[in-house]
Amino acid sequence: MLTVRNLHKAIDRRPVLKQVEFAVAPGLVAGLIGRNGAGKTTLLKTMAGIIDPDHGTVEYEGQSVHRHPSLKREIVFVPDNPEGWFGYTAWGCADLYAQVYPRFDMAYFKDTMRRFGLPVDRNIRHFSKGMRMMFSTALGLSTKARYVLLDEPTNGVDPIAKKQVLSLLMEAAAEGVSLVISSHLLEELERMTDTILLMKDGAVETHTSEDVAGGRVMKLQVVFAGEAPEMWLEGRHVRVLENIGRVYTLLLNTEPGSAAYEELQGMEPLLMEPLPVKLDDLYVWKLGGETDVG
Amino acid sequence: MWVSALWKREYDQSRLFLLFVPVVHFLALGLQRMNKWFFTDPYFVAGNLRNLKNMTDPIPAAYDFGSFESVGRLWLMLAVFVLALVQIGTERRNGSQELLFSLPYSRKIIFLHKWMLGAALLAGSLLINTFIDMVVVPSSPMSPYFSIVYHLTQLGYSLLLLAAIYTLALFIGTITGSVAFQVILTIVTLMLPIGLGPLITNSLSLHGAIDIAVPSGIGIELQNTLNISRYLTLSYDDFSWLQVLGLFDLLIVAFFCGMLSYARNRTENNGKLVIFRAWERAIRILVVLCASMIIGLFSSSLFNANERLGYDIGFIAGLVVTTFIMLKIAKLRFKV
Repeated sequence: MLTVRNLHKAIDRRPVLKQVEFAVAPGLVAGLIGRNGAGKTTLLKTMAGIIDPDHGTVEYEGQSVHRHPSLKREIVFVPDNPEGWFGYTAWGCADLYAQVYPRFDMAYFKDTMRRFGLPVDRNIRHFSKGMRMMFSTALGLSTKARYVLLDEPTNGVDPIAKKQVLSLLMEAAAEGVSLVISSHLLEELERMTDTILLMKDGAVETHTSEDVAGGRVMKLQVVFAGEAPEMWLEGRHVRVLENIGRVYTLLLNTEPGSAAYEELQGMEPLLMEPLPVKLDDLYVWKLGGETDVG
Repeated sequence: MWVSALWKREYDQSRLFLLFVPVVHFLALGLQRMNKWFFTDPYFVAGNLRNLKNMTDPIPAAYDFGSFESVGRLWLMLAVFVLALVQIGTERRNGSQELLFSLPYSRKIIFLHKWMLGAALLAGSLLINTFIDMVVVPSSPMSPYFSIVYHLTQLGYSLLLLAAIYTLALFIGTITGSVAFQVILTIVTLMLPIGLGPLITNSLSLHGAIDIAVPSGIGIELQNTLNISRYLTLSYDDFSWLQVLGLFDLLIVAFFCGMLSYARNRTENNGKLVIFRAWERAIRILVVLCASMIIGLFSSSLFNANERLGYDIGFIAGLVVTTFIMLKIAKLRFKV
């Protein structure tokens, strides 16, 4: 189990991580989402032991990753740009990783590189952005570590290669590798993850992918009888996702303390049809109203 | 603890560099010895030998009092200085540090492997070139003056001195956030005793406090002792056990401070002048004081009527301006 406990991190006196708490069970896939600058990369780097937390711990099987770096044989970080490997060929990287990670699977690495159509004897510096990401993902998964943390693995990857990368990740997950994937590809994340870690204001909210709403938000298609209640629609417990003619698609806060749903019922609309809440709805609901991405 | 992957990583980063250093060292030492005794007009060689015969202590003179070794040390110092920049400073910007920190090894072990590579480079180059020199000398016309003690003393002294300077450069790299500032701070540290002594002495004398200032003889002695760069070109006759002890202390202190700072490295501060707040404050104060004293002394030369007043005006103006500039610079992030 990879557990993050009460993690705090401030950079330039600005808190980036605040009381971050979650756990990723073995074999599960977690999607890490949030606005640009929300602290996703900082969180992944802290989990990988690259950044030291100000407070709190990242624990693997109950032991701190920062105090016991040897635990990182089971936690591999795949950055969004493998610039640390510049100057190496793909072979060179695999050769070095094979000395670091005891279960490094060279056959798997070769096979994946062939599958991606990547040359193994070319300097990583000369790879395109997409090729670098495909190479990094292949290298990270070849370690056969129990946890692989991926920072935007499909960043700059073309649509065909993106499918290849995602299917590779799915195969790894099927083999029991736990993945934490930071990405803005909400549809893909919804399909392939078990858990969603939503970052907002430095904190992380955990949602299960099967039920992202978790009883906290409801999506409805509504047709009001008469004029639409403008004041109510602009309230903080309601978000208008779409408005075509008289048909409104709304997100309502259904957490304790919000009476939005009851208020809507009281208006006796002509149509009030529940719709499934998707991950992008949750994203918009939780993060959509902000203009400050920092 | 030996980790072959870390060694390989360090070696890969500076492979070509490592091959060139012993060659350049040979050009400065072995080749120069050969030039003097093999490739020179026999008339001059005979003259040199005649001169040596007339001396009471001909061995140091036969070896030119270690001038070839001094040139070799200067080249090696340049080499290990650049190596320290590559190992610590540049890795902050090229993703290498993040890669290393993500590996399952403690930062102390990573630092140890970096240091071992530099130490091995120095030891390797010095051993190879000392051996070459020890072959060249007995087979040359100066063979009657061959001294194994001389060669081993030069080897040990050079190794200790260069290892101390290299370790100091590594340590400075662990507290600075960019290559540029690692370069500046290392050079300043090596040169500081040369400039700081006269700055303080002149400032005190302008204020009539010369009586309480350190007497000039001891001052110069202290200045020479602390001036590490001076040891690079020190004559063979001037070597002493006290220097060895001092250099050994420097090596040990720089090594442990470097290892500790590297272990506590704040990667999020990469690009800043200094990555630790306490060090940043201390360096800022030192820079502001030195700059203020320089401006004060410059300003005093403009006020012939009252040099002291001129100094005080310049010092205060320098204090305000440099404090402001340093505060601004401390907030910036540099890409080099």
